Amino acid sequence: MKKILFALSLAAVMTVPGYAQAQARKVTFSTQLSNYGGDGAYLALYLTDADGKYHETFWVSGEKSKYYKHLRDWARGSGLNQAEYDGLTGASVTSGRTQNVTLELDDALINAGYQVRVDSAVEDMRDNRSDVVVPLTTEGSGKSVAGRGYVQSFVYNLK
Amino acid sequence: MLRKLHGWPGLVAALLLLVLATTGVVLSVVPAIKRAGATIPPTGEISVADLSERVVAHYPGTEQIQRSLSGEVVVYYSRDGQPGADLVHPLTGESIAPYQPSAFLRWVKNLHRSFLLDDAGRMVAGGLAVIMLLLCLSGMFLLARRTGGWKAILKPIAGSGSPRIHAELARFAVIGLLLSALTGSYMSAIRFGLLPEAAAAEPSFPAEVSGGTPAPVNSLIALKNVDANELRELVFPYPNDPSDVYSLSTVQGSGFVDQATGELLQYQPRSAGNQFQHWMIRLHTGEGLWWLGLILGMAALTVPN
Repeated sequence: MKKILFALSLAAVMTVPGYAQAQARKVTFSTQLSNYGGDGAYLALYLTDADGKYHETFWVSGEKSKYYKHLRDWARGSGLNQAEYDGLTGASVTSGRTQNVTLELDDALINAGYQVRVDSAVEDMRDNRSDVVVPLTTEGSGKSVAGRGYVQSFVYNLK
Repeated sequence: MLRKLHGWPGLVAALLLLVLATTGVVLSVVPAIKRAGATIPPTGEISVADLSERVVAHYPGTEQIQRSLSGEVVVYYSRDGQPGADLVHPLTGESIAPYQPSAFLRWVKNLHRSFLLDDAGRMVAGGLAVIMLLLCLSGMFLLARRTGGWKAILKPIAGSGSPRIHAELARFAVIGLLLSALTGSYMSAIRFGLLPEAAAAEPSFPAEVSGGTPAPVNSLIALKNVDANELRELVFPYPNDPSDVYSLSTVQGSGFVDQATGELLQYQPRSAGNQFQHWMIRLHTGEGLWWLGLILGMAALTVPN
């Protein structure tokens, strides 16, 4: 009995890291902003399905949650529910700068028809729904795309 | 004690206050300039539905219509995949000029609110607003003592030279300065969480929409019911997305409009706290109150004294 338990726990210890490695993947999202000539931009980096339906939040840039409603599609999808973005927020991004966000992603999300999106907003300037829309695939890794709002270029790298 | 209080923080803060006052003077003129350039149709003349229809006629790719409190109407649109923003005539929806917020004014605004130093600068600016408040109050008491009581505060001031000029200017400017300092302190306190933020009346996105064929924007009843002068912002639904809605924000509140039935959904009026906060900010910026802006500006002009 003891031996079985030991073997089982050993197996568990050995499989857990292996399991994690097989399931999660490190991804870095780089968002470079253009020189749009305004104050710091609020950005929402999130995942949707192929129809644009909200799936999960990766990162929100901007200190004041009262302005999050300007990140329109993300706000609509997440319902601005704090549980959706808790611990996933940081400073707004200055005009011309690049923001890098590195996360562990569930492997099941890659090559599965999901899209990475960025919504952006700047004080006294326009709100951009889906400034960036790009499918999350191994093929798309490392390929830079242009945004249609404040985002000059966006690229993700799967490790 | 009062004299000390009026003099000591004054010396320390004088230089920084000068920056705040100078930038404040520049910014105070903005509402008046904007108001002079804006056309404001008489109330009841044009509804949000009419305005939207006219705008869409000129901008088929309209995404968002914004009206500032000064009366400027800005349209955000996309054309051939390229985003654009134009200032438009509120009656015809025709373009007046491309909309590009002034980089100079943005710089002045950032100098005024944060000395271009972000949160650290904002704290200094907020602290200065409180100091200004103390200066105004202690100065009023000193002046009352000098003229011989509060009842005599408007009587001619004896004496001559710079102390007299200071007192003469101050007794009128203090009203504007008190208002600027008080509202400025309030805004800073809100920013740094010292005072509770008024709960924003953010309606949650409607869980269900009719999903029917979108109707022309000028036929939507919820938009017909709002005067164009009360509009703050109308965000258009995504093209070809029947599950999307119009997001409407007015002076009184905000909600959503079903693009097929025109029904107003999830409408929430602004709370009293939210209105109060909104007015405190307007009393500071003079937004939509050009005369107040000019009065505050004149008051700030006397700060070097």
